[in-house]
Order: sequence, then C-alpha cells, then structure tokens
Amino acid sequence: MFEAIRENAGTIVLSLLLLGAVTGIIAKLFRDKKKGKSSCGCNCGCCPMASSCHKA
Amino acid sequence: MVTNRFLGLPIFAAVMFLVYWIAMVAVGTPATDWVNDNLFGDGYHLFGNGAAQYEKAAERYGDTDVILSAFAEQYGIEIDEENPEASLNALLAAVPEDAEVTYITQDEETLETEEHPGTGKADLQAAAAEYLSTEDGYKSGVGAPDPAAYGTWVPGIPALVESGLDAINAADWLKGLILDGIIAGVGAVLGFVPQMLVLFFLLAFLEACGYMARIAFVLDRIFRKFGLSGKSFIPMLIGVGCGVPGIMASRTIENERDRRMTIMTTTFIPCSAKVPFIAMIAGAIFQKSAWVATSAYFIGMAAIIVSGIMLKKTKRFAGEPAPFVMELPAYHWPTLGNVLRSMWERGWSFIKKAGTIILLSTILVWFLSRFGVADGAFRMLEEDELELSILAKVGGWIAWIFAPLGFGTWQATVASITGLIAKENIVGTMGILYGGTKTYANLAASFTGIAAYAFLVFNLLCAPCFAAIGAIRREMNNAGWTWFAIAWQCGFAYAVSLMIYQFGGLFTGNVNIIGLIAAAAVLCVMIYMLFFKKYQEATKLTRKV
Repeated sequence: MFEAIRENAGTIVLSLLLLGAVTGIIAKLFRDKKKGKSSCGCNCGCCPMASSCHKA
Repeated sequence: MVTNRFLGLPIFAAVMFLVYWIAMVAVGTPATDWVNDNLFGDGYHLFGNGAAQYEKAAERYGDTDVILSAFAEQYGIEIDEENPEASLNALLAAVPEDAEVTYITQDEETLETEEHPGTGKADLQAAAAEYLSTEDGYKSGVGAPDPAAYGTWVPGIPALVESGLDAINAADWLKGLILDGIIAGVGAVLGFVPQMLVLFFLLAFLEACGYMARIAFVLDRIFRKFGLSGKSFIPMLIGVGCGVPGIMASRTIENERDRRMTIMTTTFIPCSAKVPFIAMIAGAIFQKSAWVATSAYFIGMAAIIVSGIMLKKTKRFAGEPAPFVMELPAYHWPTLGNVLRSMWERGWSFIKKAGTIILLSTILVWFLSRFGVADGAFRMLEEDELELSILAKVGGWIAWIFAPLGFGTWQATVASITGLIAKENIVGTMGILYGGTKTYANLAASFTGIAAYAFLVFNLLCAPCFAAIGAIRREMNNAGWTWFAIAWQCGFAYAVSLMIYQFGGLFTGNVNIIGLIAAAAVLCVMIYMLFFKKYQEATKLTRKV
C-alpha cells in the first residue's frame, strides 16, 4: 500500500493540483456569475453602452 | 477629406487593408506561427542561433527517411535504429539495380499527400549515405538532423513539460491529459495573443485619433441597406483572421440592434483557422482548385448580406430606427498610455478566458475522445481506437441529422463537433478518422464532390468555435441572444448546405425527391424573406435622444 503510494507520488500530487485548479476555476466562474460580473476583463467601464446603464 | 462622398470609401479601404495587413500578415502571422510552431511546438533556436544551419541540414536531408522506409517496406527489411549500418547494407544488397518504388510525402498542415514515382536504386544509395552521414557541420549523428544539435536550442513547452512529467514518473493518462488535452488546447488559443494585441493596438489608435467615428459615418449608408451599422465592417474585416477579436471589435458599435446583428453575422466570414480545412477539401476532392477558397469567402459575404436582410425583417430586430447621431471629434494624436491600456485590457480578458473556460473544455474533450468501452471494459483508448470513444458513439447517434446534406457519417459528424472546439480541429480529426497518410484518397472515396462542398459550407457557416461562442456570449451578455445566434448560424448553414446538396443532385443525377422538396421549400422561404416580406420597422422616432 505504502509502496504503491510512493511509486505514484508524482501522479497523485499532480492530479490533486490539477483537480484543485479545475475546482478553483469552476468556483470562480460561479462566483462571478452570482456577482453578476461579466467575464470580460474590464467590466462595465469599457462597454460602449455603459453610459446608458450607469447614468452619471 | 475622409468623409468625402467619393474619396471616403477608397481611403477607408486602404486604411483597413493596412490595419489588416500589419496585424495579420506583417506581425500577426509570424508571431502566431512562432508561438504555435516553437513555444507550443518542438522548440526553437534562441535568437535564431543555429536555425540557419539546421534548415540547411534539413533541406539536404530532404525526404531521406521516407525514401528509406518505402524501400524497406517494399523489400521486407526493417531498418534497425540501433545498428543502422548493417540493416542498410542488407537493404542495399536486397534491392536490384533496376528497382523502382513510389514514396509518398505529406504536407503537415493540410495533410496533402504527394507521390514521387520512379525512385531508383541510386536514390536509395544517396538516402542511405545521408542517413549514415555524421559529417561535421551537417549533422552529429545518424538519422534525421536533430534541431537541438545546432546553436542554442530551447525546447518547446510540450517538450519541457513532458520531460518534467517523465521525471516525476507520471501515469500515462495524466501525461495525455496535460500534453494532448490542456497544452494542445490552451496553447492553440494563446497562439492568437500576439496577433490580437497588435490588432487591438491599431484599433485603439484608430479609435482614439478620431478616425473610427468617421469610418462609421462613411459606411453607414451602405451597410444600413442590409441591416448592419457602418461600424460592422471592422469586425468583419478582423473576422478574416479570427472570429474572437472580430466579435470583440463589435464593442465599438453603440446601437444594440446593430451590434447584435454584427455579432451574429461576423463569423460567417471564414477565419484563418478554417483555411487549412478549405485547403484540405479543395486538395482532396476538387484537384486544388483555387475557386474553392475564393468561393468560401464569397459565400461568407453573401451569408452576411442575406441573413442581414432576413434578420432585419424579423420581430427580434424590428423597432425604432436607430438614429445615427455621432459626434465627430477633431483629429488628434492619442497618448501612448491610453492606447496601450485599451489594448491590454482587451487582450488580458482574452488570456484570462484561455485559462478558465477553454481550459475546462479541453479537459472535457480530451476525456470524451480518449476514453470509451473497448473489449467490454471502459478504459483509456489507444491512438487508433478512436472510433470506440464516447465522442464517436455520440457522433454515431446524431449522424443521421446530416444525411440530407450528404455527409451523414460519424466521422464527418465528429469532425464537425470537434470543429466547435477549434476549427483547426476539423483537419486533425479528419486526418485521424480517415487514416493517416491516405487521408486524401480515403476522403475522395467517401465524399462525392457535391457532398464535400456541402460539408465545407456547413462547417464554414455553422456555429463558430467555443472561443468565439464564448465571445458571443460575453458581447451579447445574454444567454437567450447567444442561443438565438447559435441557432440562427446552424440553421442557416443547414439550409444552405441542404440546398447545395439537393440542387446539386439534380445535375449529377442523384435525386432524392423528399430532400428536393425540402430544399425547394427552404429556397422559397428565403426568396420570400428577401424580396417580398415587408420591414416591420417603425418609421417614426419616438425615443428621446
């Protein structure tokens, strides 16, 4: 058992890291969606329609 | 001057040609090619140190490997890489003086094959000498010249990661996931970054100096005729390179209806990722006719005009006429900081997306295409067992949908589906599914001319790749509109392909009466929408501006 874990240590660690990254991405996508944030980089500020949504 | 009635258009065409040329040809293509072939490819020579020597060696080495293996196959002697000299001598002894073989070379990008008949024993002797040569300055070992042996060699990311994975003794499935899935998929997308940054820079400059406002003014009169805004031209022009920045460029269109229409129609223009696919169909089935590629662009433009007019007459796009009110700013030099910031904001959002949505989708596709039920057990598949994968199974279920278009096979269906991940995938998938070096012959055997053209047109017009769908989703900022755009694109592609295949059948004597009636019905609907249906647009402006 211990031997098997030690032999595949690299695979296990790497797949856990990958799993963590994927979970993080999904969580971030959900969080952004809940916040109503669009996935574009500069948010409402650089949208040409911004002036009609956010009246000064 | 630039808004002059007559001079405005030619000046605009020249400016846009320049922007396109700088972004796509002068800077973009070399930069993108460099990223794809080197950074995400095998590797590169640092500052070009050693590249020239390697190229010279590779040119001299030529088709040596292919010639040797053609003779080896013909005379049943295997070339032993451990001890090549002995096996080559055995081969030379076995080949008679008057021997002639045909060897086949393949183009890496389009998978086009070329036959070289009449290769004699002299060629074999030359090839054997090249193979064994360790001449100083030519190559350092037997076999093909190794680029790493010249100058300063920096291995590509896949090679680096592979050696890292080997070092920690990673399992095969993990290696496959990271190399074939994540790096291949995300790398292909990141390859567009340099091209897009240049393009965004130039567009930001045109916007900031005040020219963009004037372009829209000049083009508005023409584009209004088929429901688009004057600013729609820019996204379409950019769309020739890649649909993603094309769709993003629609941000400059303030009017919501015009912007949505532009987003929906921009990807009809064949993007650069579709070019190898067009070349493949032209080469395999139409004897490399240049008309295939030319017609692809004309079909794209016709699709924009036709669907623009048709969409404009639907309820979704009806409503108040958008007033074209625009302040024309005085010309001025923009500040460098402004232009750079604008470029970086747009580019960074693209890079972030590659790290999130695209990363997830590449993992999913890798899983679907590499796993399946083989020999009664669910397991990871070998390279040549692709037809057992989950993706192939699903393709088999829905292949019947494409039967009226003439390509109802699971291979063509799967190629179309993987084309959704990235259009470059179509060529790669066809290459795997239609068997390696004989791809062209197999394609010619399984497609008739009309069916192949219908297949080409469907893949050119249907929903773009996921990256572009993501861009559509972001620019529309509304799920309903995104789905409507995808449905319209797929429906339009289906209708056009149906007409091509069914009406084409009339000329080749391959008539299916039900299909023909359906195609005729589609044509009638289109003609009605184009020429007879009235616009639902209001003629009065009620909105306060």
